[in-house]
Amino acid sequence: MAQDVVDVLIIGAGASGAAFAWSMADTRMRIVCLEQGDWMKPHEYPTSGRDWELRQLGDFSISPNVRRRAADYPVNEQDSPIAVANFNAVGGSTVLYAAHFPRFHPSDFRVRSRDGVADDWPLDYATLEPFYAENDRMMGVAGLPGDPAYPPKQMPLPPVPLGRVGEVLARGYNRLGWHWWPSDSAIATQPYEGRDRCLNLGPCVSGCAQGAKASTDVTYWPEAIRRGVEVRTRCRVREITTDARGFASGVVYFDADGVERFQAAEVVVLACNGVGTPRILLNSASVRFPDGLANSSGQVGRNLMFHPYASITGLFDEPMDGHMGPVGCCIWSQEFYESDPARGFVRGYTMEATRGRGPVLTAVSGVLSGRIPWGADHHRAFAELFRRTTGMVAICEDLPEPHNRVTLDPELTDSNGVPAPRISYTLSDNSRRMLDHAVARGSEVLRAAGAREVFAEAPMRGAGWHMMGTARMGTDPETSVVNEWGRAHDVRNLFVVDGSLFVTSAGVNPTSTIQALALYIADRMKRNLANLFD
Amino acid sequence: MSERDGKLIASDQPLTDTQRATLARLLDLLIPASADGRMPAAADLDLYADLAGLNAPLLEALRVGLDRLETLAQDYLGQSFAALAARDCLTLRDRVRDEHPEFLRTFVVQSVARYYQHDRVMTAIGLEPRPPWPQGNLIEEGDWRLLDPVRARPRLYRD
Repeated sequence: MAQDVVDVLIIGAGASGAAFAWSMADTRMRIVCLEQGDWMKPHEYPTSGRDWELRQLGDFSISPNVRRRAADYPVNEQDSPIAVANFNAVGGSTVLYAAHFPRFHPSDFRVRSRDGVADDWPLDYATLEPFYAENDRMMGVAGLPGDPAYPPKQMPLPPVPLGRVGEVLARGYNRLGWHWWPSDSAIATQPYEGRDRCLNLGPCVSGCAQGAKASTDVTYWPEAIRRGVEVRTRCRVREITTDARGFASGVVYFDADGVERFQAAEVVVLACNGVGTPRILLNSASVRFPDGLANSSGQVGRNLMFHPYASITGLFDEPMDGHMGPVGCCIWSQEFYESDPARGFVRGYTMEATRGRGPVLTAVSGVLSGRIPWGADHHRAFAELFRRTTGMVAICEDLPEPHNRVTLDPELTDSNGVPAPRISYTLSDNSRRMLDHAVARGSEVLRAAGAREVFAEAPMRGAGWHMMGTARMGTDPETSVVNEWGRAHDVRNLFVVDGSLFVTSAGVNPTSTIQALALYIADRMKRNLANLFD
Repeated sequence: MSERDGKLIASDQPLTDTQRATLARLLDLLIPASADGRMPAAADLDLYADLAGLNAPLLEALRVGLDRLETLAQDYLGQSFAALAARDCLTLRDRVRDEHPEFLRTFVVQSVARYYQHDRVMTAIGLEPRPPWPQGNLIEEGDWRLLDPVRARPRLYRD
């Protein structure tokens, strides 16, 4: 029987896999995506039930080690002050992300040239700009043109409302003369391409029951499937196989019943995020590739970057919005984004307003931290906090360091027996200084806005939402894993399209750039189909 | 009792009478009624009547801690935990917290969550007793004139 060979096999149906599949569907080639998770049912997301806050600590936790769904793989993160946050389903982590959608700045692609650290990217902002714009249209991004912190850009939808929180913080920024702007948000503030408008449910980070948030299961995938792409769910890839020429020949995966299968492919594309992608490459070691696939440089799994986060919260006398409104998307400040040597660190950060908490998380965190006591004083202490807090997170640029890495755990495995990833990560002195600066400046803003007390946490342990740099792009095969358009230096029909590509992390949420890169790589592949492997 | 998809299916009483009495005493210590009577006591709301949704490991952590509290109360003070004075209860709670940290965390998270999801409590703190979706919430659009000084700034980004 002739072998069933697909033209393009994509591993992972998250942010990058979806954008890449949609773009490649133009070619009318046979494209299959294997996803270890399942399709989600938005009407079953937590906000459709009374226990919506509690479920954020359970089956909708951002930590796979807490959530432990069948689709999840464990992560050994004992050797890291920052823990991985992700989600495994069609849509990937966009199911649980806050939908912040900032672009990189032009200077973010020229870190070595501008600031003398890390490396420059092998492409620039102008090259990516049309793909940012295309992605903004596909995802339906809300924002306000005219931000002096960015080159001119258009937004398909009007910004999310400021709310009480946005107004209060904006006044604080204005008193200090600092920059702020409404966040670019992948949230439908008006009906958009079949998605209804945002209803200010609050906890975007446990899935959007309304479907207003742009997770790729409701944006790219319906379009890609209509154009012929096949998605196979509950299929977990164990390894990429290679042939006698050293080309990728396909993948071995476990199907929904746990049966091991092989899928042959002409082209294999990794879209599994900065931890999942190196995990598969390292699990694909063979006689020909003893250190893992595409790893002659030794860079697979190295240079792991998170964004170290600081949380800065103010306590106010006046009422705030509580949990209402998109929790992570409101306003941001990039006053301290571009490098200034006088600050004692290189690169910078974005301050992103976080609106507030609902009653359960206010009370749970209050009691566990001791701020809300047991006994008669419980009610007074709760009332002092509930709907009286708001603040921000500072998302700090992380620089690549070879010792920060993803390896395979010698003992821990997933439910199919596939070795799990182990994270080894230390916070750099530069990051610590940046976090300290962010906490001090964030406290200043909150005081200027009227907070009578400020508390902070830095780094936030559970905030490893962004995993980047572990299969980085570059023109030199000795120092990078893939070339300037995502093709592995060592394996000419193997591509990476996720955050593993990142050369540096910038000080913004990465999803917009991850997807712009995926669209750019797909575009380059389509233009070079005739000599793709040359 | 059986398990399906990690969720407990209660075919009989998952907690013994003694465990329930210990639980009620702890709840009363955690969240008593407010002095003005506006906020009910946690122990009066039957928060643990329905244990669906509590997965097997969490239920087991709860049972282990409740049993340990009762054992300590009997061994050291010769009384049931439910009959102890508040100060003695809190002393034993601290000891069990050190021995079984997962117990106290589970108790606090579950109890506080169930309390603040209760209709009476949500109403008392000014919320409608409903989930966020599908009705949603209204928030103010805000005063966009606040952006005027920011619009007037020169560009901040570098090439």
